[in-house]
Amino acid sequence: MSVIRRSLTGTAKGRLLSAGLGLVGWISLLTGLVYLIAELVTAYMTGSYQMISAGQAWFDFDVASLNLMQAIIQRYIHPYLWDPIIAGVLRWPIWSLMGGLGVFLVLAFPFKGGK
Amino acid sequence: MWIKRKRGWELPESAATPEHRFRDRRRLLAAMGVGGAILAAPAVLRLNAAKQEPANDTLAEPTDPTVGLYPVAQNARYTLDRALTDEQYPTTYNNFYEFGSHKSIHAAAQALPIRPWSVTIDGLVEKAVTIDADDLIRMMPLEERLYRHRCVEAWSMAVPWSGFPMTALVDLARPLSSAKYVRMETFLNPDVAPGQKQNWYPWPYIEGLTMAEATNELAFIVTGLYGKPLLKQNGAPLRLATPWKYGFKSTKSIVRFNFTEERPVSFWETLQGSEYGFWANINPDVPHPRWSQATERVLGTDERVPTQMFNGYGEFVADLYKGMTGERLFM
Repeated sequence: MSVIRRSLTGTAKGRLLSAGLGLVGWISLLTGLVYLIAELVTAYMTGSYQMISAGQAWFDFDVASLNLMQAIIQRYIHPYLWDPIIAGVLRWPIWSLMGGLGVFLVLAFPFKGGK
Repeated sequence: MWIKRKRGWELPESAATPEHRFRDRRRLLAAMGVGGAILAAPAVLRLNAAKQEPANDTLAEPTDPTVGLYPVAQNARYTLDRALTDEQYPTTYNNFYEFGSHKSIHAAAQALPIRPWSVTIDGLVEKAVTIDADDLIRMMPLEERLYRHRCVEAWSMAVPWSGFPMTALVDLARPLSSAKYVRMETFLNPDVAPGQKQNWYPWPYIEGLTMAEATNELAFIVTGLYGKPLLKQNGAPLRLATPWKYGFKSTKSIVRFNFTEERPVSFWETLQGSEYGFWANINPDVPHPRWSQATERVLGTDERVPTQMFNGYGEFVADLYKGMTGERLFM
C-alpha cells in the first residue's frame, strides 16, 4: 500500500487522485453517519429498530441499476458472485459499509497541507 | 589488518525507514483495523444471533399426489403453428426470480416444498376459503392445451400445459359484482428462496388480471406440463398461463387469488414501471425500452421468428382492449 501511495503522491496526477480518494472517504463516512442517524431516529420515534441495508439504500436510490447489475452478474459472470457474495454484502447495514469504507479511505489518504 | 564483521542487527543509516513512512504504515494498519471492525460488526452480531436460533428440520418431499391424474385429454381448440419445444428446454431455461435472476434456477427451485400447499381465495367474494391445492386440482375440469409462450426477453416456446380454465376458478370463488380485478400472489419463503432474502425487493411476487381477462377462455391455471405434474422450476403446484401476454404476467407457485376493486400493482411495475406495465400485451410494433419485440428466439432451435400481435391470439382477446385509450396496453 505504501508503494501505491508513494507512486500516487509522486506526481501531480497522483496527488490529485490521492486527494480524490480521501474526499470519497469523507463522503462515504458522512453518508454512513447520516444513515446511522436515520436508523437511530427512526428507532427512537417508532420504538422498533429497522436496519437500512445497503441493498435497500441502492434500491431506493436507483432500482434499475441494482436490477440490471444483478442480471448481468448472475447471467454473464457467475450466479454465485451475486448470491451469496454480493447479495450477502448488500444485506449489511449501509452505515457499516459506507462507514468502514470511509474510515479506511480517510485514514489511508489523509488531506495534507502543502509545503 | 582490521576487518569489521557486522553483527546481524547492525544496519547502515540509509536502510532506516524514514519516520513519516513508518508513521504512515501505522496509520494505514489502524485504518484497516478500524474499517474492518466497522465492516465486520454486523456479521459478528448476526452470527451470534444465529447461534441462538434453533435449526429448522425439513421433511422429505412426498410424491406428487396428483400424478395419477395425468396425462389429461387435449383440448383441440388450441393449436400451434410450430413444433412443440423439446421438454428439456422449458424445464431447464427458466425465469423464477425468487431463486435468482439467472437461467439455471431449475436446480435452486428444487428447494421449494410444494406439499402441503394451500390456496386462499378471498377479497370481494361471497365467502373466503383456503383450500388444499390437491383438492382444488381434483375438483377442476383438467385438460391439456398447446400454447405459445412469449417472454418479454424476446424468446419463446411452444408447450403442452395441463390445467383448468381460470374461469372455473372464478366460478368457484363467486366474486361480488364490485370485484374488478384478480390479484395473484406467489409464495413467500426466504428460507428456501434465496432471491427473497434480498428483502429490498417487494416480495411476494404479485400479478393481476382484470375480471374480463380472468374469465377469457384463454386464461389458464396450469397444474401440469408434458403430461406430468408441474415441476417446481415451472411454478408448481399451480401457475397462470396467459399466452397473449408477456411471460412475466404468468404468476408461478400461486398461494392466493384476491378479488379486488383496485387495480393491483405488480412486482415488475413496482420495480421498473417505465419498462413493465400492468397490461403487458404482446405487440411486435411496441419495443421494450431497451430492445425490440419484433422477433423472438425460439427455444431449442436456431430460429428467430417474427412476433405476432397478441402472440397470435388476437381472435380470442383483441376485443377486450377495444376503446382503451390512454392505457399502456403493450408494456
